[in-house]
Amino acid sequence: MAFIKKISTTFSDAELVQLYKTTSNANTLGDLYSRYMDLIYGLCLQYLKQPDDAQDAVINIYEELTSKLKKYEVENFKAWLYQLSKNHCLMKLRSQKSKIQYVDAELMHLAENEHLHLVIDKENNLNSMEHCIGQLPHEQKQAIQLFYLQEKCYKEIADATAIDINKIRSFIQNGRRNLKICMDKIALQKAD
Amino acid sequence: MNTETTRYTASDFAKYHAGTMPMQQMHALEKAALEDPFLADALEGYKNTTTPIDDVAAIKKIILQKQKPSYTTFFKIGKVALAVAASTILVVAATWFYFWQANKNVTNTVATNAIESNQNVDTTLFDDVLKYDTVAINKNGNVATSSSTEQNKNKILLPQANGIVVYTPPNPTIFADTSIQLRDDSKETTKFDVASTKISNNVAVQNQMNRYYNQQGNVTDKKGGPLKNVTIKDVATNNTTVTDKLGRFKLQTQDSSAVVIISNIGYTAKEVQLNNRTVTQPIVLDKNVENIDAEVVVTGFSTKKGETNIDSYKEKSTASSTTVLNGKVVGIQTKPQSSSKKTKFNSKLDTSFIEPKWLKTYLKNNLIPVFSDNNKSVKGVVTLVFEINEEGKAINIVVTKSLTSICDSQAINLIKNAPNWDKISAKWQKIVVYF
Repeated sequence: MAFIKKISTTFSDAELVQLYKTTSNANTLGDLYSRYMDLIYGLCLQYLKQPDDAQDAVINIYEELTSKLKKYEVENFKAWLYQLSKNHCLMKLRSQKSKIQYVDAELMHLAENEHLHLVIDKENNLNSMEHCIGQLPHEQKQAIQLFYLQEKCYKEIADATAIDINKIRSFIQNGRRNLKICMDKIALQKAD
Repeated sequence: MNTETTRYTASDFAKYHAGTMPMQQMHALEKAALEDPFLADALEGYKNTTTPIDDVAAIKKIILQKQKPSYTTFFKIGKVALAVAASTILVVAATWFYFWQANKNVTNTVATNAIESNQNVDTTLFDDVLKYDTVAINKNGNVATSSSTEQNKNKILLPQANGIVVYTPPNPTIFADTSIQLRDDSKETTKFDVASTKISNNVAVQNQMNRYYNQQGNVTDKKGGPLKNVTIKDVATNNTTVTDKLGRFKLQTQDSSAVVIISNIGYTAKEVQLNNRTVTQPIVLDKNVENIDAEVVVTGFSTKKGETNIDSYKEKSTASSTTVLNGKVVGIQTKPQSSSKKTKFNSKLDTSFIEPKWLKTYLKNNLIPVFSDNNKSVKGVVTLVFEINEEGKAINIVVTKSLTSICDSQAINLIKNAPNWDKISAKWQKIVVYF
């Protein structure tokens, strides 16, 4: 176990993937998998709803991984694993019901742009960000300000504004998206 | 994921949903979830369990058990035992292979129209149907089976000429669960309307879509450098395409193993059979030094407005564009490569095009000699077809006969940057640039 402890702190995902590909050591893979197992279990719960099904799925995904990881070139392990796990769950849903299941649109709301934080981080964009926040619809503006500037969590915002917590989340998500569009526009104009 | 962020665990998620997490941490988790859809899904998912920590512990235990066997067996078994095991496996494998082969023949005779084909097209396309015994048909009419047995895994079945696809499931018991799905490119699955039903253990699927096969590949020279604007012509249908900057091409064929002719000026043409070829193996063209001429001649011709469109040129005239010009255009001397297609074009060509007076001098003054690697100047022709817009500028320039990438781009630039073309004379232009 000491050995496992050691590799989990010193090796990156990519290194462990490489290590597994060359040595086929099950412990290497187990270690890599345990980094994401909690997340995968949550993901499976999200799709399959039943804890029993989700537990089986986590184990099946592990087994799928033992063969697939050797076959594919994996650049970003986390993103790849996310996709693999999601596909696995969707496949399971499909086989459970002969009727095709359409995934709830709510589930999709999270697959968002990951680059927003990069844009926000840039200091010279602060001015345009302020401008763009001003352009947002009132509810989105309020939610974004409370979340990002005053660092309140969803529950606090919901309590303060008496709006449903799910609505708060979608305000923030939509606000983020609108912000990004607005800031991209400004960046383009500047570039011209 | 270069920046190492906090790794959230089941207990964090449990605390979050139980409301025992400090507000600040909740905010941090929500913020991270907005950046990371994986985390966001997981966070949502934990709503569905009341015992998250026990659940995860149970999974961990099972996965740890799965890791053990690979460890112990290897250290305990001695060399002799290993040798015995190896030979046993060999015998078993050989027997299995023999029976498998025999079995295969039986299936073939029983289901005479079963198609045996296991060309691996693009298995990733069918990635999420691999786990189950499924027949999937994509828009192109390719049928992929995915089965729980290794033998039938990833098998791509091809429809017969009458559009019937026959799939033989590995055994009748599994067959009960076989589902047939129609997959389109948007990755949505809809249940396929099965025209005919189960006959013994065969499924016949009527596929009513137009079938074609997407072939792709790439062309390189001997050194492995990509060749662009190489012509690829399907022998059966005469469909033609050209390679892009990276030497890649895509061509739709009616036959899964279509024969194409790959030709490029300065290179020896090659006949190749495409077997749902993926880009892994490049097609290599050898240089041919004979085709090379030493003069600089510029010429052009025009077509009547509206009578010809550029596509017909691209498809049919590429292989013999010089032949088409021969005798039709002022000031050009070409050596015909073949005379077969000539008559098709005669009726459509209008020789009233008058070459702009400035063109010859313009090209003469601006053409820069191109040198190859061994310092010899490159000689040959580049043929371009393009459209003249209302401002008299050349647009939509297509190289129909390519020389080298440098010559091609030089010719394109010359045409692009040329003084205004006479917009009345013709809408379409074809220019041959002699290097």
